[in-house]
Amino acid sequence: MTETPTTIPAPVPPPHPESVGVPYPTLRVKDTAPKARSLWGDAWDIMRSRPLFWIALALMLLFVVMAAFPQLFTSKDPRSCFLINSRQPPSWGAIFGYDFQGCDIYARTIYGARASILVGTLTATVTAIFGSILGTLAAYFGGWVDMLISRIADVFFAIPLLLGGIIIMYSIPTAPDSPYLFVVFKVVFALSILGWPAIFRLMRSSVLQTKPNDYVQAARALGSSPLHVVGSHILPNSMAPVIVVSTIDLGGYIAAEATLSFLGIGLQAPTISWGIAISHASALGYIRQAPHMLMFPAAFLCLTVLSFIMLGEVVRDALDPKLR
Amino acid sequence: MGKYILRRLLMMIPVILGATLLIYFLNFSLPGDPLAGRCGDRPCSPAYEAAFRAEYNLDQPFIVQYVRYLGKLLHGDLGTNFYGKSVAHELAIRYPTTVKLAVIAITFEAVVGVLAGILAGIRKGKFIDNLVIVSTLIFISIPVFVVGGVSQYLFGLKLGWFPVTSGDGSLEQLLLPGLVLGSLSVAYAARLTRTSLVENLRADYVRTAKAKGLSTARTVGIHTLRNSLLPVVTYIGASFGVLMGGAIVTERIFNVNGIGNFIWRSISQRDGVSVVGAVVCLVIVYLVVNLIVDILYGVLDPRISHD
Repeated sequence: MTETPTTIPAPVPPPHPESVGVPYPTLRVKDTAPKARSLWGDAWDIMRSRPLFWIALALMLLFVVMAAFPQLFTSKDPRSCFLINSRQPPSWGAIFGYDFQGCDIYARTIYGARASILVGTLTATVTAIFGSILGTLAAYFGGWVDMLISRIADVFFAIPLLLGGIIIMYSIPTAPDSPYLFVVFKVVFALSILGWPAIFRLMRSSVLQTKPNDYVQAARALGSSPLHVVGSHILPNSMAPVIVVSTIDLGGYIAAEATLSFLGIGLQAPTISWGIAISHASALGYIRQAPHMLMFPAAFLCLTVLSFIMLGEVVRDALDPKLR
Repeated sequence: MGKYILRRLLMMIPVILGATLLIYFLNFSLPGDPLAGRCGDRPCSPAYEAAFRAEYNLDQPFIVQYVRYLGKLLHGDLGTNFYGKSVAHELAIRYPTTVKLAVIAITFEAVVGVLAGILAGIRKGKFIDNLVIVSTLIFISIPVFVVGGVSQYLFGLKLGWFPVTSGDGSLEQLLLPGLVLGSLSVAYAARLTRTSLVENLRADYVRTAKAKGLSTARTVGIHTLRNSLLPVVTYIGASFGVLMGGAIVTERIFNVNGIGNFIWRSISQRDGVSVVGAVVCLVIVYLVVNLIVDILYGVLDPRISHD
């Protein structure tokens, strides 16, 4: 098997049709035969030859490191602000200039990555786990379980992300002194509760496609427990679309968080976030006098969203044989 | 056909009931004070609090509260905010502007998105295809509020092509906000048209049409497009939800006096009754639009309604 990327769990390749019952003739023949190839092995070969994949991966890693260790990128304190510097354009001392409060925009933009990455990653993880579990349950057991979960998912699916997000954010009040993580979790909760049905539907149809395969039937006939059948045969062969869509959605969740913060109901100042920075900068007077206040955080936000969406799309193209 | 429409309508009932129940539950039954954030920065006055509790039957069991709330919704009553103004009335005087904005956005999405998708689809792998793929990827990655802010700066302030803000909501003033609002959906519509066209171009009936010696214009324009545009129609319905969320942002940036701006102002004034009332109204509009699109889909594609 070819090497698989470390971030993606290596799936168990479907057994070769001949390997059921008929063993490979001899070791020598097997050695000269072409290497056994898995779906992810093929995909990896395609991906690593595409520059877009490396660009997206590099950008993504850059932003993740920025979120985890902002000190590596700037020695300035994003909260030390001097009004005398208010709205100063970029200069050698402050390459992105200063905002209305006289804070260094470069430092604040670097520190703003944390909120976006945290919300995006957590939401994508929660929706992926929750949606996959329910999707697998619905598809594996079928009948009334499927019916019940699918109808509940329909209801959540019917509410647009941003509109529902506004209602949920509004329903859980935040005091100005609420801890940082509480506010982050609130946004994650709002986005996850509206985002899981998409993953659920995807996983359900993916498991439904995997279930009738011979190797699944064989495992069941051999008396494997449902947990084992799902865990070692169904999940590894039906997770691919969920991983791809979750990566693409991660970008979308970052954009949604920034939009909620922009509207004033996501993260709140004094938290440092790109959405808040852009919201403050887009008052008309500031756009006229100090467009740099808008441009730099906006550029970082777009690049982050772009890197996740691009990565997801490259992986999807590599996995989808139809597009080749 | 009649049976299909009836089935669609029946399927809609549990979704509408579920969605309103969910919103109502989130709104009133989560732990915490149901009146928090409904009267601006100050706590509500006892008189308003009593009126609010009576209006929403908050002393009754949950199911009674919900059923009465549903009854009010059916009568078009979206609540009264602490200024004593009816939310439904506030929306009624603002919706024409928002509808105009949405029409501009959807027209942009349908015309430009579909055209770009067709160009890319018939020249798969060529320069124009890559151009469409890359530019749509960029548009998908830029949140609407960034597109709004940047284009207001660039086209409004620097180049002066468009009015910077909207005053009375004339077509000229709504053009730039409308294009901004449609910018995300136009990218998705283009990609969907391209994918769908590329898939259909491989179909047997297209090969037959080509083999018969029909011109490319006819094979693509008549035979393939008809089938390829079906998913795009559904998408345009679904994009309505994105558009309504985007309208809140766009109307705020360009100061368009529509429903979105009303929601944004209510958020910043912490007028929860108006926020929730207006958003519930938008969610219901969204559900109805999607019902209509579903039915339309059944009309356009007979295979759907005959199963």
